[in-house]
Amino acid sequence: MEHHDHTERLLLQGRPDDPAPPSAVDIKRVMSRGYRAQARRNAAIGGASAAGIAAIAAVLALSLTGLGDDGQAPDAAQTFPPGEPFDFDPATAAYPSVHPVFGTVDPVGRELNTAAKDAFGELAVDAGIFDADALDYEFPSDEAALEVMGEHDLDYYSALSDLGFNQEQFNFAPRGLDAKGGQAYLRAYVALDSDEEAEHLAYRISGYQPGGWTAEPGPTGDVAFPQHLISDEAVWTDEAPEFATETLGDGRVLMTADHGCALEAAVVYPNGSALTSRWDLDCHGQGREMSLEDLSTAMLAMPQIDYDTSELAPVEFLDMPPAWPADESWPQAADADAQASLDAAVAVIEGVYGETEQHGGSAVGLHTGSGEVVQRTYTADVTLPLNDSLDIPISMNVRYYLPGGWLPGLPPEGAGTGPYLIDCGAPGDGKDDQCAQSELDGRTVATRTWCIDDEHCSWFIGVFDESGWAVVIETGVGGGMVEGYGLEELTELATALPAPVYDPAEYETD
Amino acid sequence: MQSKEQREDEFQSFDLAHRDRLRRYAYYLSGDWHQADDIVQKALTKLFAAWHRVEPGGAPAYARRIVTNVYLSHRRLAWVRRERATDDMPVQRIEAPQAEVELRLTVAGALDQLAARERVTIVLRYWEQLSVEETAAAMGCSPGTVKSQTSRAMGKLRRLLAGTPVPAGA
Repeated sequence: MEHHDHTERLLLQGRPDDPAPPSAVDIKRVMSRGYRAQARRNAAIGGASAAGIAAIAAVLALSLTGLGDDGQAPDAAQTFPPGEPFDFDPATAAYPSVHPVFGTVDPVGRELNTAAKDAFGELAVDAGIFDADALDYEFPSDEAALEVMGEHDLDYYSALSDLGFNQEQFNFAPRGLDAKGGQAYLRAYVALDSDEEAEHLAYRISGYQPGGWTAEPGPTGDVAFPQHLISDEAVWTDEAPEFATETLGDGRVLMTADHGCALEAAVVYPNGSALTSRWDLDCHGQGREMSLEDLSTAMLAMPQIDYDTSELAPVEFLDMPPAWPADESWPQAADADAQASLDAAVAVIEGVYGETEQHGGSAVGLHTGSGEVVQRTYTADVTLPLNDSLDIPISMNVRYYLPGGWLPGLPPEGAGTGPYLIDCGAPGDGKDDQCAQSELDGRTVATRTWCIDDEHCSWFIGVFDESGWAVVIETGVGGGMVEGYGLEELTELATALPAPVYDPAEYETD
Repeated sequence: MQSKEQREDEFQSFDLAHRDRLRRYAYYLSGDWHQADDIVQKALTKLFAAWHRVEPGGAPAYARRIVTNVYLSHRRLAWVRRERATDDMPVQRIEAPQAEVELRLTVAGALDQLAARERVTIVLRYWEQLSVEETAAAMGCSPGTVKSQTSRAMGKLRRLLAGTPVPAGA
């Protein structure tokens, strides 16, 4: 590249060279998680190696009862037997935060992929969502996946990606979906439109495992618990959809919502699992067409899946003000309050350290879980007139959290971070960082200090006001301690930051 | 057979030597330091789980490949895509209040318009200064795919950046 054209010169000169803020990467946590992942994989892969033929045979046997490896739907009529009954109400149960590692082939991903390709492929092509050649691919064989898993120590879905299966349509992957802000999880296999150039996702198909949801329609996402699969309220436009429910003779329940420019559908199966799909046809002027009848036919062509529910258990949630439905207009509406709040906070910081350089500063809705709800925050980064021992200017992030979608203090012993703002106490992390919680003038103060050999230290300090807001500062230094810049001083600073500007009445909950 | 201590020492040495580079690469890809840290943390976890199988000399390239894959996985998540879909420049994207900040914002905005794999290709070729073959290795694809992705992405960037002046001294 000796001679660069105009665009290449712009690219080369436009490379960002802003200094990196302190790293939030926690190497000890990395290693701790790495050990756990490796142990689980070894156990699973070891089992698979010992009974490799049996593992593949099991998959093939399953495919005989569901879908064949050739991706063709079975000739026999589908059946929808009820599952084993639970000893509890699955609607109020959920899964733990640690997602299973797929140390051997996962027949569910393949079954959903091949069934969806068959059921929805032509429908999507006819609607103009993608061309027919987008369906011209083969799902990687189990033998190939197992070979890559063994060779590179990968789990099944990483192996599929390594085999190049990551850009195809109907590529289902297992997901944990936040419940109550991450206090527990729903589990689903989700396939998204894989057209990365599309400005808006054309479709999302989700196979829900039993647990944590209700067949009653209502706002979807982590807004309520049990969660709703499909909404009968206005979502895509200002008008409520034409909503219909039909109970079939085989025990399935089909629900459809025609929003005009978008279609949504859900099937609840007798074994307590469910399938949902949503299709953005013309809400952004894409001009696609799909009939509700054809979508219903495709939904009903999908098989009932026997998911692993061994980790589903009843849960008791802590009381938490709900997070906010994602609203793109909120940051702009809150901008003046955010600026006033952050200016006041920066003034306090400058009172301690002198004039800072402020980068940005705005109201930001922090997406949580699947992204349908947010925590409302005001955030700014500042560079202090102070260098660390590596002669790098010290940066600090200040973030105010308005009420809703989080819990104060540190997570309880043995719980995951979930909806807590200071990342301490995840079970089995084995972290040796120092976390502490105290009460100061009626407020809760939670701190986390994490250092490598006293050379690189990061601090995370949260102050939780009894009126419902919180402020968290994050900062760090490299090359050794800086006099006057440690946990004690930073805690003093955090507790001195003023209350954010917002209307408490808007944030009151019953 | 390495002891646990040896393995951890070796990995921490690798981390100290390469983390900054990996973070910056992840930042080039995501345009956001918080996302970059998230990507690197996940990538390092995967790398450590496979550390005993990684050839010492090949670790940096392998780590870059994992970062690439984690970034592509992130882009497939709906919330990331939703952020990308907005017309507004995300806050705190490029934090250098320097003379050429306007150009950097323009270039960053143009890169945001590319598909994920196109962006990876451009970042690796022009910002990480990798050869076609090295880029192919980092992306797990053929050199021919790198060339076609580069050509397609540059075509888009030429349209998006048309009329943008090159600052003096470039």
